[in-house]
Amino acid sequence: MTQQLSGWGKTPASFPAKLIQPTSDQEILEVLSGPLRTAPRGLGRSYGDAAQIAAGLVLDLTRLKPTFELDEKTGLLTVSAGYSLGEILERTLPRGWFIPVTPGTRFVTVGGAVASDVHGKNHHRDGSFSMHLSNLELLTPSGAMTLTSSDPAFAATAGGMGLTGVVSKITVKLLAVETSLIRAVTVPTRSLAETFEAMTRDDEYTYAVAWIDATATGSRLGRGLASFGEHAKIDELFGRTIDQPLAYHPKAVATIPVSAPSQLLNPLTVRLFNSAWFQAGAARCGEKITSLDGFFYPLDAVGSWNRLYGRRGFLQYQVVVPYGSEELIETIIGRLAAGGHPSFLSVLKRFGEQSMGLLSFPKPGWTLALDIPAKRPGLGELLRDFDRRVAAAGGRVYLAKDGRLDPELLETMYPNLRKFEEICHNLDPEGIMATDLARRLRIGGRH
Amino acid sequence: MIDANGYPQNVLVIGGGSEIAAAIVALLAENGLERLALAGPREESMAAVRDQIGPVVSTKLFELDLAEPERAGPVIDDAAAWMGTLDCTIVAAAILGDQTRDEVSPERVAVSLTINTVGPAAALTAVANRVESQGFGEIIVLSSVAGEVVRRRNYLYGAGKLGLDGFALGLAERLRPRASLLVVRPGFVRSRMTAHLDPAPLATTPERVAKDTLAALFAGRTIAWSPGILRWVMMVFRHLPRGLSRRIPF
Ligand SMILES: Cc1cc2nc3c(=O)[nH]c(=O)nc-3n(C[C@H](O)[C@H](O)[C@H](O)COP(=O)(O)OP(=O)(O)OC[C@H]3O[C@@H](n4cnc5c(N)ncnc54)[C@H](O)[C@@H]3O)c2cc1C
Repeated sequence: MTQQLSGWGKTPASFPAKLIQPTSDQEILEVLSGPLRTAPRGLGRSYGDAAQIAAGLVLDLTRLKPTFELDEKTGLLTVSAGYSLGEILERTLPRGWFIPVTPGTRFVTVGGAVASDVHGKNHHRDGSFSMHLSNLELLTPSGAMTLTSSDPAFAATAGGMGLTGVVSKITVKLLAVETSLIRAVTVPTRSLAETFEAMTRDDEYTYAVAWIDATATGSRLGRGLASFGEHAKIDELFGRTIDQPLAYHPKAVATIPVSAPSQLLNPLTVRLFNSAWFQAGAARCGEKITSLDGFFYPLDAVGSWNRLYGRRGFLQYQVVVPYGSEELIETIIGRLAAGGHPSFLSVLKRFGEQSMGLLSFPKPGWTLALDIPAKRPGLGELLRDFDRRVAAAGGRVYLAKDGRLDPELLETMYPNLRKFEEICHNLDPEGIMATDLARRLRIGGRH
Repeated sequence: MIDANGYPQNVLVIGGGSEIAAAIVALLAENGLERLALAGPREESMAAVRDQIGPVVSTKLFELDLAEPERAGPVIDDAAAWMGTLDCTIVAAAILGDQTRDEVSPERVAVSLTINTVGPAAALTAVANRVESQGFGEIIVLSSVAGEVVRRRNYLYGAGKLGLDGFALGLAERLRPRASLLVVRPGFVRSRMTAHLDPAPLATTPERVAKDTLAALFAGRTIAWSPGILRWVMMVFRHLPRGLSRRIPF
């Protein structure tokens, strides 16, 4: 019997018929020529059911690491899809090269970063991950191909949630940095209006994101901590001299055990945590030099923190809404808090231009991400209502976080869906590539 | 498929005319239910459930009389083929019968136990096999407190539920953790099936049972009582000396 698989939120879960960990392209091409429905999987950091296939074959790609070639002069990195962003940083940062786009955890694979076309705190300036690739190699049931950003198959693969084939290798342009430190500025805000206001100053910084205390209600609704950052230059270290300005030694400080009590995160502890975090942040506001991990990956300090939610699991509701729909953000935060669904971790930021990716999530507007305990009475209905409003406003739900969207709304949210499905069909006429997410949302294939 | 909040897209009801099952389905219909297969012996009562759920859910009726348990397998295959996956199955088939009339008839006793135990067990086996091979699934079995402690006034029905309850708990162990199986033990439920009876203490409604059922399912429990207090009442009751408990009138 194989093991049960789920995303980071632990729900939905399913059992594959088979799980294999290929180490070469050849192995993967052989599998893709077989009859079993096949789902690629990286480090399982998508929240829902994107990287699993019930009764099918799961390709765990975390051992696919034949290639790692950094051109130290140009910053062009050619790297196998199984490397994690953290592993890349450990090798490239000491040589002065940073990843151009990074999500809020370093435990994602290159393949997962392409398939979700991930965004970082710099999206308003630098766009999403796929916009920094010069090419990628895709293994499909109809063979291997090298794609550049003008290829339709590239546009389908960037943000394509693993449904076009297996990404085996990419070439990405890295960003030159002088230090592994971040010059960060934190600004406390007392209301949602202030948070929006603070965030519209994001064009002064490369990195910008606002943490929101989603448990605050009334006039404090939407209060939070707006944080901005730049890669610190050598001469910005406030007189501190540093032997190794590019040193990078990430480490976890703690791990949540499997046996953690299942109700550690309940409405009360979530509210206490959020208030305390806000007070602490507000007290420490201003400018400071901080570690790269502290700025980009604060959650990675605690291993397996998803266990805090217990066996029901949790979900992340992440949407983007166009400018002008700010009141929808207020509605979502307010009604979740009022409905007794406090979000432990809530983040707001602005998106810039969208990429070529046909199913890529980011588009200009506000994005809000909320971590919420799953399977609670009333939550399903509430989120379905939000979905309808978000779709009507021209916004969308992020598939890498999704485990529950109404399939009927998918095409409204992703108008290039049919084009995407056509490309998938050409690459994979038998419908071999499949995931639970695709089956649930009825994306292409033989569902 | 089943979503992150535990809601299924496809549901099969064995005993498709059941009011409790209909109440559960009504809650699921508000949360993304797409296809509903109702299997049962009486088309009218299933059609009534279909009409009550309305056109947002695509519903198909399948003829199945569990008095012929061997028919369960093929009907479940048909329903699953129509739906694609068997996300959630509710086993609700049962007849209450008339204890005083039936208890003296060997034929009626045989029919009652066939419909209330043998048929559902056969159906559950077909469902379980499918759920195991498809890699996920939810199964809800409607049992009864009548099966917890079998009483003089309805021992035929009670014995049937006792058998089903035990079978389902064993099956839950077999399926763990591949699929979740929930055994629901409602008390006296005011419904069409019991309209002619005087309600017992702690009587409940199909809607209440439906709510309790989903809450227990999503919490990952194996047994649900409805109302919840019955768990404690029955725990005490089971431990009373028989001479005393048999004289308590309920
Ligand atoms: C704490 C945390 C913070 C996060 N912050 C952000 C954020 O700020 N911005 C953001 O955009 N996302 C964020 N995410 C989401 C995460 O970046 C994406 O879900 C990412 O895809 C996860 O990568 P993975 O390697 O874990 O992939 P998995 O979760 O294993 O898979 C994700 C998808 O990629 C596909 N896939 C994986 N490998 C390949 C491959 N080699 N070829 C083709 N398809 C493949 C899978 O089929 C699946 O559809 C966050 C997640 C967590 C847990």
